[in-house]
Amino acid sequence: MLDKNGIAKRIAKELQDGYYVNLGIGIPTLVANYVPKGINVIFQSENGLLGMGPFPYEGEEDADMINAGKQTVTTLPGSSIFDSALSFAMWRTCSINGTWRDGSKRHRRYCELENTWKNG
Amino acid sequence: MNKVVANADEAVKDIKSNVTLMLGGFGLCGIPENCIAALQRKGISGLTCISNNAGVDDFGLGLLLKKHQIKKMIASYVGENAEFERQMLTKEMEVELIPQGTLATRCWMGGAGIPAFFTPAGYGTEVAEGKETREFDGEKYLMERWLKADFAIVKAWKGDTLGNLIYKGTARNFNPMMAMAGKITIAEVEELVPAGELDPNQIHTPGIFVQRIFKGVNYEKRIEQRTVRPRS
Repeated sequence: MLDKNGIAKRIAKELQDGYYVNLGIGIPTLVANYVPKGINVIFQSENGLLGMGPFPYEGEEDADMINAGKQTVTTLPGSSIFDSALSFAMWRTCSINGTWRDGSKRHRRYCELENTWKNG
Repeated sequence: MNKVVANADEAVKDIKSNVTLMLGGFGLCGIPENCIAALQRKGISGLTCISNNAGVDDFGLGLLLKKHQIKKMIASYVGENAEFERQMLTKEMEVELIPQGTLATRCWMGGAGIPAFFTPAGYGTEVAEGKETREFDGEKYLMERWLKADFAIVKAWKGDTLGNLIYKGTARNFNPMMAMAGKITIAEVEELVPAGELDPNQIHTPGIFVQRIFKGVNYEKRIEQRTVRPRS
């Protein structure tokens, strides 16, 4: 049975050179740590960042630069920043080659809440 | 034309109970901290709040939840907030969950004067219940309506006395669309400068969308997940 990092490593094997990739909150954000050598991908974060870089060095965290999981990140040469409407326009028009959402965390919790709320 | 007000309390002075508010931000990033605190101080209630998230238990919109000021929350992601879950499960608060892209676009359409649009997001799921669907070029879509608010409260990095706004980093997120969609838009900024100091090419939100602006104070800018990498 794979743990979180094992799942992230497995997903990373699907990456191809030149891909634009979205990483949702939860396990998917770990995929950025396992990009195969020699492959260049550009990570998109739904909250409005294309070209998401690694976590910052200690002391250099910027509260105005976070990813979908609310973690502090950085930019890279060639990064761009935009609003949420434009972010999802990228998704809808399939400009994003791959997107991984953590159904086990967000969707299941939403369904649990929704079902409990509806059924009392 | 004088859009500048002294502070958050002045900016929200005429916001009454039972109105619909839009509040910018993604998580705790780019949230209008000063106005949220001012709304908590006002003690108004019965609010319908449109915001991507509901803050955490003791910050952001969580502050309004603690004082039971929110009657209905329209959002896309509501984890990380135990009080929110409690109020939702006890039906003390009504919740409408919207896919994030749809939420962003509905706000944009509200600000752009477009009452309805078609999106693929949510087709064939609960999201599509009760909504018209149509096929375009062989693909299925569902119809969504614009979203507007009595007041939109946004946070920007810089603004000028005409209400032009520039955002910083990922603190931009929902703020530009919500600034468009409020009947009255209130902007709190970190730096407020006279008109003419901001380069027109750099403006993200033209001042026509903003009715009130003030320089905010004491921003906490709380980080939810402080993640760092080692220096090699």
